[in-house]
This record gives sequence, C-alpha cells and structure tokens, in this order.
Amino acid sequence: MVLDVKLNRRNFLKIAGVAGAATFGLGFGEPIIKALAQGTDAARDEKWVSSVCIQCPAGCGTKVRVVNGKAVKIEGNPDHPYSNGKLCPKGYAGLQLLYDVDRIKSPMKRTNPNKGQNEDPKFMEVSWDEALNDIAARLNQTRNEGKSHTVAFLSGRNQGRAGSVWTTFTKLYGTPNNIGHSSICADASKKARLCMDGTDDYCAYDWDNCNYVLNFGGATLEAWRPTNLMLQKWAHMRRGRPVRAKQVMVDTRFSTTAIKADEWLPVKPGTDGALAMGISQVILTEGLWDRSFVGDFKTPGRKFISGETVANDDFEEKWTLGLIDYWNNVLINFTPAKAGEITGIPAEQIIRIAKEFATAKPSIAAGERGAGAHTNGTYNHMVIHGLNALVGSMFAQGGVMYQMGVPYASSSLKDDDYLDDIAKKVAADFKAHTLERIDEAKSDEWPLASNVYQNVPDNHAKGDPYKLSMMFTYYTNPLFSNPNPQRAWEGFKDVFMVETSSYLSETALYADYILPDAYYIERKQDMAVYASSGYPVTGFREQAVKPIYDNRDSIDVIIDLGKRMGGKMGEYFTLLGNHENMLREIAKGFEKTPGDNGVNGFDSWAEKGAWYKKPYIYRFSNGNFYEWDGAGYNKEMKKAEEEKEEMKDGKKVKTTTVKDPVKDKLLKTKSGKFEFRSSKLEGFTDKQKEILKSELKSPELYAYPHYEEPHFAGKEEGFPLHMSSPKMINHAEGRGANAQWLQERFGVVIGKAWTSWVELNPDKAEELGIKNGDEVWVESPIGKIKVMAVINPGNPPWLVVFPFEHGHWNYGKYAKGLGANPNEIIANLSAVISAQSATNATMVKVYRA
Amino acid sequence: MEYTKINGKSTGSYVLIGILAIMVAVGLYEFIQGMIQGHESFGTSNIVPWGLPITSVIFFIGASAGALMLSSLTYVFGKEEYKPVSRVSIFLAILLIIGALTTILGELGRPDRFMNLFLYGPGNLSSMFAVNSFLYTGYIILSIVYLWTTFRDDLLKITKLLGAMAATLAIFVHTGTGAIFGFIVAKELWFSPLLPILFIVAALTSGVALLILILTVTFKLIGYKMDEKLVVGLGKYLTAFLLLQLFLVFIENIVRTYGGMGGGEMSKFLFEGPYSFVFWGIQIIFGTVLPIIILSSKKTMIKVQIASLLAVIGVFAERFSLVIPGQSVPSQQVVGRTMMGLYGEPAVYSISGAEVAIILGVVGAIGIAYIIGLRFIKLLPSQP
Amino acid sequence: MVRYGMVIDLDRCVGCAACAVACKAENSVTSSTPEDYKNRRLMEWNRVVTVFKGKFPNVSASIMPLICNHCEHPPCVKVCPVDATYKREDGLVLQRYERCIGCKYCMVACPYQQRFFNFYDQKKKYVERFEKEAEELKKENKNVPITYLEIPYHNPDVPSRISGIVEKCTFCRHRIDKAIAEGKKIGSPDGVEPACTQACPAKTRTFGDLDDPDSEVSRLLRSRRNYQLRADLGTEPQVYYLD
Ligand SMILES: Nc1nc2c(c(=O)[nH]1)N[C@H]1C(S)=C(S)[C@@H](COP(=O)(O)OP(=O)(O)OC[C@H]3O[C@@H](n4cnc5c(=O)[nH]c(N)nc54)[C@H](O)[C@@H]3O)O[C@H]1N2
Ligand SMILES: Nc1nc2c(c(=O)[nH]1)N[C@H]1C(S)=C(S)[C@@H](COP(=O)(O)OP(=O)(O)OC[C@H]3O[C@@H](n4cnc5c(=O)[nH]c(N)nc54)[C@H](O)[C@@H]3O)O[C@H]1N2
Ligand code: SF4
Ligand code: SF4
Ligand code: SF4
Ligand code: SF4
Ligand code: SF4
Ligand SMILES: [Mo]
Repeated sequence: MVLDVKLNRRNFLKIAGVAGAATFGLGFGEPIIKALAQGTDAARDEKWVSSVCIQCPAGCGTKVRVVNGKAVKIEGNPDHPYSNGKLCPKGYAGLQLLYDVDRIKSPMKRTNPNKGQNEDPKFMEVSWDEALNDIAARLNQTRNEGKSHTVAFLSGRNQGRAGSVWTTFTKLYGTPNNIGHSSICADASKKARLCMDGTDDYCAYDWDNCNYVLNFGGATLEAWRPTNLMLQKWAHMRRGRPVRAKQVMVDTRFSTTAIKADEWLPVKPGTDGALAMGISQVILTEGLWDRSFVGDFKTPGRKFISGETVANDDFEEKWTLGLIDYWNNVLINFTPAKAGEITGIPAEQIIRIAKEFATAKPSIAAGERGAGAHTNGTYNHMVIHGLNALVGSMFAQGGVMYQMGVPYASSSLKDDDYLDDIAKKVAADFKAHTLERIDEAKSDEWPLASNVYQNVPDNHAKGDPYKLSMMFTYYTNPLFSNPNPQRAWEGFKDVFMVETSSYLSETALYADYILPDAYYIERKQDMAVYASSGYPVTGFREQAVKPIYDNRDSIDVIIDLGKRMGGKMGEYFTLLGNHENMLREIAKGFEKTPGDNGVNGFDSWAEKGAWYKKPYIYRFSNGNFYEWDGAGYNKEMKKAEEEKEEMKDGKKVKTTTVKDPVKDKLLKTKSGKFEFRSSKLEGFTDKQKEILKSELKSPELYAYPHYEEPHFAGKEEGFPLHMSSPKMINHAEGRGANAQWLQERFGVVIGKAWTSWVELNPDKAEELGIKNGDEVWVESPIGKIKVMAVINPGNPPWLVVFPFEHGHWNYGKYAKGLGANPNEIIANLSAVISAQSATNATMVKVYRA
Repeated sequence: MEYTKINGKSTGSYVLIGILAIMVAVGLYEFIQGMIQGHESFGTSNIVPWGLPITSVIFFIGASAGALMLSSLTYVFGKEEYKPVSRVSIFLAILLIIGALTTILGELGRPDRFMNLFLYGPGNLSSMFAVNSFLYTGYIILSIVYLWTTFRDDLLKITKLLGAMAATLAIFVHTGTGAIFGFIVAKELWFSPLLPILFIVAALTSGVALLILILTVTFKLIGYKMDEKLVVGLGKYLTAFLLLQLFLVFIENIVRTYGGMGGGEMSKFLFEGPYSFVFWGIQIIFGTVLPIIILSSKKTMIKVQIASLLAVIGVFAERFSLVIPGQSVPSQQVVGRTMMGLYGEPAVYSISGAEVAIILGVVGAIGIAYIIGLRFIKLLPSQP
Repeated sequence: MVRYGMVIDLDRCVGCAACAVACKAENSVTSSTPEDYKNRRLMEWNRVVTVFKGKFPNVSASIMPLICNHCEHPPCVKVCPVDATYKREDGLVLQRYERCIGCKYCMVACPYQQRFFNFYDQKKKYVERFEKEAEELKKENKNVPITYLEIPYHNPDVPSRISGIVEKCTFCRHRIDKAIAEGKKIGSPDGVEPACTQACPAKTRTFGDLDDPDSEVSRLLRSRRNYQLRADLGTEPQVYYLD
C-alpha cells in the first residue's frame, strides 16, 4: 500500500527526467508530471483509512484513500482475510455512492399525506431534534394505546451493532416485529441445514483444499457470498495449487459461472433436488459413500441396489441418522434415468458427475438461491446438503463447516433488566402465541422461518393478524425488492413510515420521515463477515470522511431516539451512550484473544480494519472429530460422562450427564448426528405438521430431503417460459443503480449497460419473431413489463433471464426510470419451511411490443 | 481567348450571397460551440470517431484534385476546346481544397491547436495526416501560382510546367488522402492498395461532374449560354471515369469477398448491413449505374447535366460508404467468435445537425468566395 | 532495457470487471451516462467482453479483459500527426494531452478500439449539472456541498481531461513514475502494479518487464502457450494472453 506519499523536489526531477528522455524535450509540459508536482507542492494531506464495504453482505475490508478530506479511491484491505487487498467491482464504486449528489441531505418530513407511485411526497427539511421528538412522541402514544406491537422494524443489511440496537429497541419498546429481509434473501439453504445438522446458518467452505465443487445455483462468480473471496478462491482452485479443482455449475442459465466452470449442467428450473437425488442414488448404488462418516453395511462390500429395500439392521450408521429410511423411502427408485427425465440432464452425465464427486474428494456440494428460490427450495437444499454427508465432507479438510463467532466482549448492560410492563407483556404474549408477528414467522404456519418478510404487505392489508400503524425501515426497500412489490405500494399507504436511507428509494418516497443515515464511509461500524472462512473474522469501518451532508449514523440515531422515549427504555439507551461506546466495549474481547494481525483492542482494530484468528478449530478426519489444540487437530471430541453432585431435596445426588461435544458444537441436532430423517421436522406439533403436509405433493416425505415437485405461478394459466431474475456481478442488491461505474458495465456477459433486458435463446427468439434489441413485453399472471430483448446464444430455450436491480422510480437521477424491475411480474410464492421467497418460480410469456 | 469578370451586382447575387452567409454563420456558430463545449452535439462516437465532416473533406479534396487535373487538359495537353472552363476549374480546385482544410478544422477536437500540425508534424512524417498537411499546403500554393500564370500569356511554358506539376501534385494529394485510409490495417474496408487508385478515379469523376454542375448553375445565373459541345465532351470523360470507378469497386469487393481475413464479413456488412442502402441504392445504382445508362445513349447537354448531378451524389455516397461502414463494422479481436454487446454490434452513426451545419458553412464560404472571385478575377470566358 | 508488458491469464479470469471499475477510479476516467451509452461514447480504457461460439446446447464462451496493448509497433503512434501519442523508452504508449489536436486519426488506426475521445470536459460537465442547485444554495446563504462544485473523487495524481482530446490506458504511468521516483520495485507480484492488476481478485493479470528474464511476466510467458490479440496485424502487442 502506498502510504503518505512524499515526493521531494529531487525525486520529482528524477521522474521528470525519465519522462523527459522520452518526450522530445518537453518534460515539464507533461500533464501527469505536473499533477504529481502539484500534489507535492500543495502540501497534500493524504491518508488511507480502514473501512468495510457494504455493497453486498460479504463485508470485505477496504482502505479508503483520503486526500485533503476527500475520499478518492477505495481499495481492498490487504490485512483483511476476505479482501486480501482485492475487491469485487462494486467495492470500488462506493465512491460514487458516497458522493451521489442526489443523496438526502438532511432529515425530511412528508407534507403530502397521500402516498403512491405518482405522489410527490412534498418533503420538507426538518431538524434532527424536531424529527426525533415527533417520532418518539408518536411511538409513546401508540404504546400507551396498547398497540406497541403494531410498530414494525424492517431491516436488510443491519451489520454489526445495528442488529443489536434494533433488537433491543424493539424488545424494550414491546413489539415482536423486528423483521429482517432474510426470507427474500437466502433462508432456504440455512433452514435446510437447520433441519439436517442443526445449524441455522450458511456454510463455510474450505476452498483451499477442496478438489471438486458441485454448485447448485449459487452464482460463484456473480453473486453468492462472499463474492470477492469466491473470485479469489476460484482462481486459486484453478491455478494456485498443484491440483486443479473441478468446478461443476448447476444453473438454469449460461451465467458467468457456467461459462467459466469446467462443466455446466443446465437443469430445468426448480429441479435441483431431483438432480442431487439422482447423484445421491448413484453414490449409494456404486458404493461410493464415505464410510468413516456415514457408516457401512454389516456385510462388508455390500452396496445399495436400486429398487431394493434395505433392512435398518443391516447397516450401521456412524455420524448420520436415518440413511436407511432415506434410502427406502426416497432414493430407492430414484434412478439417474428418472433424475435425468426431470432435470433434463442425461443420465450418463449424472452418473459420471456422481462418481467424480464421490471419488475426487474432498468435494463440496453447495448452492444458494438458484436451488433455494423455488417453492421446493428448502427440500432441494436438504438433498444437496445431504451430499456433503454422503461423501464425508462435513467438517472435513476441504469440506464444509460453520462460521465461528467473534469473541466480542459482552456488555454489562443487559437489556432484559430494562423491560417495563408493556414490554414484558408483549414478550410473554408472543411466547404464548397469543400475539403473532405481523409476518407470522414462528407461528404454526412458519415454525422454523426466521422471517416471512414478503408477506408483510398482504398481512397488513388483510389486517390478519392485525394492521400495522408504524414502520421503520433500515437498509431495506420493501417497495422494490419484494416479489410483486405492487402489494406494498398499495398496502403501505396507510402506515406511518420512517426511513433511514440517505437515498430517495421507493420506500423513502412513502416515508413520513426520512432520517438519513451517514454513508458507510462516513461512519464507524463493526462487521463480522458472512460465513466462508470458518475461522472468525470481523472488520472495522473507521470514519474515513466526515458526513458531507447533515446525515447521522442511524445506529446513533436509534440510540438517540431510545433516549427520547423516556422511561426504562430511555434509561437503557442513556446508559448505552452511543455507537462508538458499544464498539469500544465489544473490542475489549480482543484483549483476551488478540487477532493474528496483532489487533488487541479498539484502536488497533480501527487502524488495521480487521481482527481475525486462524485456524478453524474443528476437523473431521478418519471417522472422528477433533479440535485444534494450538499445534494441530489433536484433541478428539469424544463423548464423555460427566459426574455432578447436586443437592436434591436436601440430599446429595450424583448425576451423570453425557457431554457430547460434537452435538454441542457441530451437529446440533436432537440426535447429535447428521439427520437424513429430520428430527426437527418430525418434532413439529400435529398442527404444524398438518399445515406443512397440506402444502406438499409428497406429504409422506415431509421429514426427508427429497425432490418435492415445484409449483410455478402461471404454469397452469399457460405461461410457457421459466424466468430467472439473477444478480449480476455489478449489481449491488437494490443499491447500485445510481453508481455510474457499475451501470456502464452492468451486463458483462451480454455486453449491455445502463438498462435492463431479458435474455432469450436464439431459437426461441426466432420462433417468437424477436430480434436482438427488440422491445418486448414480458408477461406473467401478475402483470407485464416492457423491456429490451437480448439474444444470448448460451441460454436454453425454456428460459427467460431478467436480471434484477433496475426499474427504480427514484433513487437519484441515474437510477430513476432506468429499465424495469422483474419483481413487478414475480408472484409472491414462498418455499415451505424456510419461507424463502420463490423468486425463480414465476412463468412468463414474451412477445414483441 | 478573352476572359471577363462578372458584374455580380444583381439583387439575385446579393440574395445568394446572403443565403450563403447565413450558412456560414450557422456553421461558424456550431464550430465555436463545438470548440467550447466539445463535440457532444456531433453524431460521432468512440467507435465511429469520423463522421460526415471527414466524408466531406475527402469529397472536397477529391473534387479539387479532379478539377485541377481537368485544367491540365488545356494547359498541359493543349486541348483548347476546354479552355473556357480551365481557369475557373483551377480556381475551384483552390477553393475546394481550402474548403476541405476548413472542414478538417471544424472537425478537430481542438481546432485551437491547429498550429501543432506544423510545429510537430515534421517530427512524425509517418503520419499521413502530417504528410498531407504539407502536401495540401504545397498544393494550394502551387495552384495559386499556376492560376496566376494562366493570366500571363507570356508565361505559357511555365503554365504548362506548373500545370503538369500541379496535376501531379493533385494526384499525390489525393493518393495521400487515400492513404490516410489505405494504410490503416485496423480497418478491413480501408486497408487496400487499390484504395488510392480508386480515390483518384473518384476524384476525376467528382471533379468533372462538379465542374459541369457549377458551370451550369453559374451560367444560368449570369445569363450565359453553355456550349453544348463542351459539356458533351466533358460528358465523355465522365462516362469513362464512371466506368472505371465501377470496375474498381467491383474488383475490390470481389477480392474482399473471395478471401482474406474475415473479409467476407466485411463485404457482407457493406452489402447487407445497416448502410447497404447507401452502397447499393445511392452509390451503385443511383450514383454510378444510372448516370452510365444515361450517358450511354446519345449525349445531350441536359443528359450530361443530370448524369453529373447523379455522379456527384454517387461519389459522395461512395466516400460515405467507405468512411462510415469502414468504422462501424465490429472489429474482429478474436477471430471466429462473436463478441456480445457494444463492440460486437455494428455501431450506427447518425448524422447530426451540428456536423451538417459545419459542412454547409464551408459550402457557403466556398460559394461566397466563388462569387467574389468571379467578380474580381477574370475567370470566365467573355461571351460572344 | 526495460519493456513493460502484461500477461493476462484467462484461465484465472472470472469476468468480474473489477479491473475495469478500478481503472475508472484510479485514472478518473469519465463516468458515462445513459446518453453516452446510447451514443457509444463510453470511456473504457479497460473493458471486459464476452465472445461466444455456437449456441445452446453446444455453446462455449470466453470472457476477456481488453486494454491498450502498448503495441511494439503501435499504429496509433505512427498516425499521430503531432506526435501527441508516443512510445516511451520503457514501452509505454502514452499521450501528451496538451498537444493532441483531436483529429481522432489514432482512434481509427488502433485495431483494438482502445482510444477514447473526450466529447466534453470531464470537470465542466460534472459541475454544470449542479450549477443551478449551487446557485440557489448560495442565494440562500447556505453551504454548497463540494459534490456540487467538482468531481470530489478525482485522483489528484492524474490530470483531468478537457474536451476534444483523445485518451487511453496509460499502464498507470503515474504509479510507475512515482515508483521510479521513490526507487520502488515495479512489477508483479511484489512490486508496484497498475491499478487493474492490483485490483484483480483472481490475479489474472501480471505486469512487469518483458526484457527481464527473471520477471514474473517473462516466467509466465515461458511456462505456457500464449498469444497476442490480432498478432496478424503486425502491431506486436505487449499484452499477452494465456488460455
Ligand atoms: N454481485 C452481487 N453479489 C451478491 C449480491 C448482490 O446483490 N450482487 N447479494 C448477495 C446476497 S444478499 C445474496 S442472498 C447472494 C445470493 O447469491 P446467489 O444465490 O448466487 O444469487 P442469485 O443471483 O439470486 O441466483 C443464483 C443463480 O441461480 C440461478 N437459478 C435460477 N433458477 C435456478 C434453478 O432452478 N436451479 C439452479 N440450479 N439455478 C437457478 C440463476 O440463474 C442465478 O445464476 O449474493 C450475494 N452476493
Ligand atoms: N427479482 C429478484 N428479487 C430479489 C433478488 C433477486 O435476485 N431477484 N434478490 C433478493 C435478495 S438476495 C435480497 S438480499 C434482497 C435485497 O433487498 P433489500 O433488503 O430491499 O435491499 P436493497 O434492495 O439493497 O435495498 C436497500 C435499501 O437500503 C437503503 N440504503 C442504502 N444505503 C443505506 C445506508 O447507508 N443506510 C441506510 N439506513 N439505508 C441505506 C437504500 O435506500 C435501499 O432502499 O432482494 C431480493 N429480491
Ligand atoms: S464482495 Fe461485497 S463486500 Fe466485498 S467488495 Fe464486493 S460488494 Fe463489497
Ligand atoms: S492497442 Fe491501440 S492504442 Fe494501444 S498502442 Fe496499440 S494501437 Fe495504440
Ligand atoms: S487525436 Fe490526438 S493523439 Fe490521436 S492522432 Fe490526433 S493528435 Fe494524435
Ligand atoms: S494499466 Fe492502468 S490505465 Fe491501463 S487499464 Fe489498467 S488500470 Fe487502466
Ligand atoms: S478483475 Fe481480473 S478476473 Fe475480474 S475481469 Fe478483470 S482480469 Fe478478469
Ligand atoms: Mo440476499
């Protein structure tokens, strides 16, 4: 990193000399040299400040080059193990978002009570005091009316302390409605894992050591997570090591990842589960499962035979549960030929891939929204995750693991001590299911779902379970990113909305107050990374530049609002102080556990921008689990009986409890095993089971990973084409349409920029009489939108690709009116169990406009 | 042979000058705008950086060279029957080349740095632009002297010598102009040894045709009668040049279509691409074949005049089909593969008002200079 | 002699275009607008393109970054009538912005479409858009945010470009010149690199001295089959590709 450049006269003359030699006696006329000279002469104040990118959730550490108080470049932080000095394209574009002149420059109050797409909100600038006092008064009034639960907090990227502040705020205020956007994001894969190995999280992957990647719809080179690190690891797997790893990409479209992969499997949409099942069957019938993890037949050498049941007693399972039931009930007749019929992938290819996958170990089966964003998404991911168990990749070298937490110090200030009666009652009612969340997550309908974000507009509109009175939005744009957002355009008209974005998003256009956040380069924040490395990493966002407008860090604003609420809540937030206090407090944890880069407290963390500690401490090998003891994976994680003496009824009683570290730390299921028959699902109450089964085409298989036939909106109505609305590499969720640098190369593969488009297969286009560049209508049962058609020779004929990000009605002069939003024709379908929004499950027809 | 100045004080003449002056003013305005604001209002792009102005430049240069070569019929080859128009054709040649240079000025991104051409040009004579700036300057000076000698009956020999030199230089000038394009390996449509030859033939075509047209208009306006024999005679040359031109275009495209580096693609683009109508419709059918057909029957004055008009348009179209499609065809970077997006699709150039205004401004200036010339210099033959 | 060049390993390239955006940021290359795109006036010193062969299901594609090749025999230098484009001793093909007359001859001469014309003043264009807002704020005696007055994120190490001149990839000469001045090592993997090379998450690009047999670029070129773009044109690009 070039730090504090100091060019003195003599050095400068040297450069001039070099250039001069080649420039025909004009040395000093050289403009760049002049600029350099100016830089030195005009006493340049230059520094590099650590920060963390937030164009996507990955949380890459950055360094911001600040010259004379202005941020002039963002680069990767070499000291952050996800960045390694690199960034994905979105990271660089942070500058243009920071300096977007269309940002909201001070708190705003709506003066036009009518809301709608074509309503001018007539915003009026107000002071922070006025805005916060008014909002606090409203909140208190609602609370006093006994309606605190009708206030909802919707959030997207609530990184670091944002998450805890919102959680505490809602808890102390007394509403269960702290709703994240995870259900429109990627909950299917998480919940599939929760059902099978007990961890409700994304996996971490040992890319460095893995030899074979079978990826079901996780766009490694365009989206997925953490994009930047994935790009680095991909190249490393290619050329950075002696053995080249094979990348197999299962995707419905010819994506960048499909282009670059060693093999592309163009599955029919929504059939990933079937493909993974076919592969699973081959692994079992060919006898290629990992015996050290899965176990074996009692008769050595015996294999599974397609169509033949296996007696439970014949097989001894090791770290798995229910494999034989899984075989007998699910896999037994699911031959590669059957899988081929459903997925469109030839049976021979499925067999070959299965064999490769099981023999080229260590192998990883992974995936994300491609397989997940379908009505059967959770089950798809269960079958996929099952593959990791079959080949023994769980916690193995080169396999999958779970991200470790960061050892932050916990605060002495406990929010539980500050619950007043209202807050306590709401918490109790929620626990007793007498009060549900507005999205009905955790209700009998969605017992496992973290959020059902996409259903908020409908539930509010129906008043079922109740109507919302107020809504706060933090880093999320329900009027845009939701499937069929028209529901929110209508539904949220009568909700009092407080938006924290500093961009005039669709949601902001509905806001009654806008409390503009400081942009991420303007604020301090911590950011523990998304899962990938396994070992813990957390980045630090130092304030690189002062807010250029009258904006304030939303976390401080919420703390401020909490203080103004008065009562116990006010007390709590007064003691909490401010955001920086919180950061200083958690950083104390590093005093005990200094990071590998020497970070041992707040200041060094802020300076270096990252704390991390290698290695990942768990490892499965040769049939057992081990823990890192400082030198190697030597400490076996064995079940141990622990004797405890307890006083019971005045007598000393000896109790022996079995301590199972694998169950406690790694396979957190009821059985402590990797479950092919999910005890989580089997543990549903009868009512919950009934509701779940009523949604399934194969209700008897509800507890197993299986291919559940997907449901597609529009299929019955005769809409012939599937639609995928993926993310592009230059797509920063709904937040990048105003960055010129991203927009001017938005579609790297198809070479389009500054617009949206739908991709069509050339034969299909010809059949429909559509030429490259034609305007077409894309119509679904929800509605139709006009957009440009692009012929992509790589896509299959049954598919239309309509990338997401455009179609803003505002969001600054560049984003406004740019292209169209595919969500406006996407039906609101959700995957069972996880409530993952089934973004890829709408069918359409396309015709010339 | 006697020459005379024209009176040119009629209202018609002033109205004409007025109209031309408005053209100049509009052109000047656009030029200054372009200089201050940049070329935002142009129709050019980063893929088609050269637009209509460059097309006109080579048209003007061609016509100039053609006109000058024509004058050599009289002064070098002694064909007295063309003497009545020879002096004025030298004058026109001078005006046209100056017009061409003015158009270049209007097309430069930084016309204020025009002098750099002369300051630094000698440092890089591998640039056909640099070479041409000297060729053009030399050509202008030589032509002026040549024109001056035609006024002196005592300098007949020198006139002949200068005429020969000027005609030769005209050939070089236009060969040089052709080489601006012909030396560019990057552009398949341009990179051809035939190109300079095609340029000269096109120059002769446009030179004769334009001369016929201008004289027709001039004579009409000042009330002179055109000499049918002279026009028909020029018509014969026109026929020959047109045929030659057609032949060269044919040969060139045959070669291109037959083989070479993806050359088939290039011809395909020319024949079927977005500009095919300019090539087929305007250049070939309307601008070459049709005048040939007209001229192939017994030539009359009116036929020659119509054919000339068509030929002028044809040559302009020919320049256009060279300059624009040559740039807008997607350039091959990886042979045999189609590139997606912006650089893989033909870049369509749309003619902008600003560019047209600048060109018309130059035309206006040439017109005014021509009228003034006729008034103050004895350029036209005295009418019997 | 020093002769700088770049090796681009397409097997590593993931088509992310981080290089392209990093180049924009580093060299303060004008950002486009939708109009510029429509008019094909993108300034793309560094662009990532996809080339296709065949169609589904027998389809293959290759994603490749393209930059100025700093040709050994650069047609752009040859045609420049005022010597504004020149080849430096160390192999860099550079541009004297203050001398360029904007004839665009180099643009048509470059077989790789790597030269870009400034259709407007970078800075003026940016500022113009907010003039009205700035005026109004001034009238109200309010602070005018810097974002209204200048391109705040312009890299002070590179000059801003006026209208009417041509520009292109400089191999990040300001970085190289600075490194020379500071006596730093130049070239991948551990020396000063151009911004695109430094940015590339896949380490697709390697920059260095082609004349130095020990440099990483030379080593790479020896180790694998390589090619230059349109080598048939005789331009002798100094950017090499590995498949
Ligand atoms: N560039 C970029 N990266 C990001 C983000 C971003 O906004 N931009 N956002 C981040 C976030 S929040 C998330 S959740 C992740 C999501 O990361 P991904 O899950 O990778 O993202 P998507 O683009 O939604 O979908 C991935 C792929 O699934 C394919 N697909 C569609 N239907 C099917 C199907 O039925 N089967 C299969 N196999 N594939 C199918 C799509 O064509 C697409 O290529 O990305 C993260 N990374
Ligand atoms: N069709 C389709 N739909 C999709 C997807 C898809 O692939 N296809 N992807 C889905 C996925 S994976 C996700 S994660 C969601 C994302 O959807 P959302 O959660 O809605 O996230 P964004 O669209 O990025 O919207 C973020 C909001 O944050 C605001 N914002 C920006 N910067 C700041 C800031 O500094 N502070 C604050 N407080 N606010 C800020 C912006 O104004 C913007 O309105 O979209 C989902 N929707
Ligand atoms: S991967 Fe995400 S966090 Fe990392 S640089 Fe890219 S956008 Fe930023
Ligand atoms: S690639 Fe083009 S611009 Fe670069 S040196 Fe070669 S000819 Fe010149
Ligand atoms: S545009 Fe500038 S750099 Fe290019 S050839 Fe003309 S003067 Fe030289
Ligand atoms: S070398 Fe520098 S100027 Fe050239 S493409 Fe890379 S970043 Fe841009
Ligand atoms: S940054 Fe690297 S990997 Fe990404 S497109 Fe550029 S060269 Fe390829
Ligand atoms: Mo997401």
